[in-house]
Amino acid sequence: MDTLTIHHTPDPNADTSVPDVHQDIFSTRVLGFWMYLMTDCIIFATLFTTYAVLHNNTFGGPSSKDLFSLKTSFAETMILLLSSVTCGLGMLSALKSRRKHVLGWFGIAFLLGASFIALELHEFTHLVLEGNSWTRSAFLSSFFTLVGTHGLHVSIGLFWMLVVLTQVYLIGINIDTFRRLVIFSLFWHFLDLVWIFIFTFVYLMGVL
Amino acid sequence: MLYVNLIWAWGHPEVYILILPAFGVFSEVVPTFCEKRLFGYVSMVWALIVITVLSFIVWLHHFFTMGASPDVNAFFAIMTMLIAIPTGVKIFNWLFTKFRGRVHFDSPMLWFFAFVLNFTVGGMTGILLSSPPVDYQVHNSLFLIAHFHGMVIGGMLFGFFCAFTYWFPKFTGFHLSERLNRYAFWCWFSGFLIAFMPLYMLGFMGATRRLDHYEASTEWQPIFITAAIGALIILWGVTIQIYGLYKSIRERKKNRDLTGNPWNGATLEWATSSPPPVYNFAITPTVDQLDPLWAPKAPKPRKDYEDIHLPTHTPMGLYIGILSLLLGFSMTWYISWLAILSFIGIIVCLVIRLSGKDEFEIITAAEVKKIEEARTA
Repeated sequence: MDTLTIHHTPDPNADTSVPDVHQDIFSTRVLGFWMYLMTDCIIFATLFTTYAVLHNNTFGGPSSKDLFSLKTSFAETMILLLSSVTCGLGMLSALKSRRKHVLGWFGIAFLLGASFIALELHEFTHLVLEGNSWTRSAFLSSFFTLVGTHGLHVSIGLFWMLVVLTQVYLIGINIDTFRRLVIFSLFWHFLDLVWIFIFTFVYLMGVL
Repeated sequence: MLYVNLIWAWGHPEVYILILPAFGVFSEVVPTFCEKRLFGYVSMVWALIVITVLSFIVWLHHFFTMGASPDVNAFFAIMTMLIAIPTGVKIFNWLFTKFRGRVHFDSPMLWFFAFVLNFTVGGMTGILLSSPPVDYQVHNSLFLIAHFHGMVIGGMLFGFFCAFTYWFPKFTGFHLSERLNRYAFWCWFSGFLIAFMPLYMLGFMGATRRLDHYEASTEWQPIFITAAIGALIILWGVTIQIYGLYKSIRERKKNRDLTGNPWNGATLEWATSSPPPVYNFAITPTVDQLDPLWAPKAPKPRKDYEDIHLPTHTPMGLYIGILSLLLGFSMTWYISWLAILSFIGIIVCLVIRLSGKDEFEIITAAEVKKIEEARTA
């Protein structure tokens, strides 16, 4: 467990009035990533607002009721939720430094994420082929921007997961790869959370 | 139009991200070259905060002609006018810093003088533009172009040139040629006025931006030619700057800064050598006041060196920056092969950076002692 020790100075009465020369890299990196996530929140908040403003502007074209299928989006939701669960189980194995379990759990999360993207691409191509692309109406433009931005995040997350898993495979679990897993899983859970909002506001409220 | 709103809701705070560092630069440079503490430090900080907040609620002034209701336009017009107040506070504080100070006319200070003139003219025309009825007349005209070039070139760029000249000896260890700096400054300053003041006139005469031709009967030709001459003078200034940089690097042995504090600055960066050692300070200095280097009793240098823990060097930030520039350029001009290539390059740099193992290095107390003795000897 020593490999995962994250504090250089465990002194309980450390003088915090002066900066610690052995800066705690683990917490600063995680804090930095939280800040990134907050800026991402601003992007999604903006896109959700755009969608809320524009979702009735169908320009004579199809509305959300005509286009969305709850079956696909429910399957997407379950897949993404499940991948978050296996991602969490992977983190538990990482805490115990079990490399094979980490690779296994994250491998499943990767496959689930990939099938989520496959489903989403299938939905998008279907819409575009029927002539309902982002150029059709303001509603569809805001739909593709919001859901597409989320999809892009997931795709980049998949690539990122591959990189980190390759490191775990080659190096094993040490303080560096562990930190990268922690930060990646923050990102993955965050995307899951955003999807819950998309599922609720775009699909559920769009169809019901 | 909603997306245009989104772009400027981001874009207007962004132009303040451009100018605020220049404000910070002048708050460092003006006290140094006036040998006097910054006037109204606390009001400076509050002005900064007010500008930051207001910058988020003015974006609609980029398109008063969108057709929003008069109430909406009025709100954004008033918020835009309000920004002039904290900005004026800053300008006056810098001027009051000069009052009864010992003003030195070194080249960083010249950029400041030019900044005050250009930024005030640009700010005044900005106030004119912030009124919707006026804006309906001059929207997208060269009047607007002259306004924002005045802010970005006369304000921000002059500030950055000032910073470059001021901190150049700190990060390289030698001075830029002061004589060539002055020549470049006068070219820039006069060229800027000759190039952009005519645009205010043209704007009032009805010339819009991005014209591909205009009729001879408009009689704009002589004014456009004057502006072009101004641009050529600026080009000459740029040439002098590049030559000055080349000459200063070639003659760097003659222009060394051995003091570490060539301008008698008051802030901490001047307390270490030029260029600073990799760890900046052997012992993190304790500061109990503004302008610590002007304190009547300078603290004694300490010698109880400890091991210094530093992140390792990496050039990846530089590479990613260059590749991002290429990516942005190629995306703007639809050069898809370059866009794909630079994007892949960025990803590769990121992966390499995030796959590194040794992210820290320790400089031992003995090494620190050696470096410190070599530099203070």
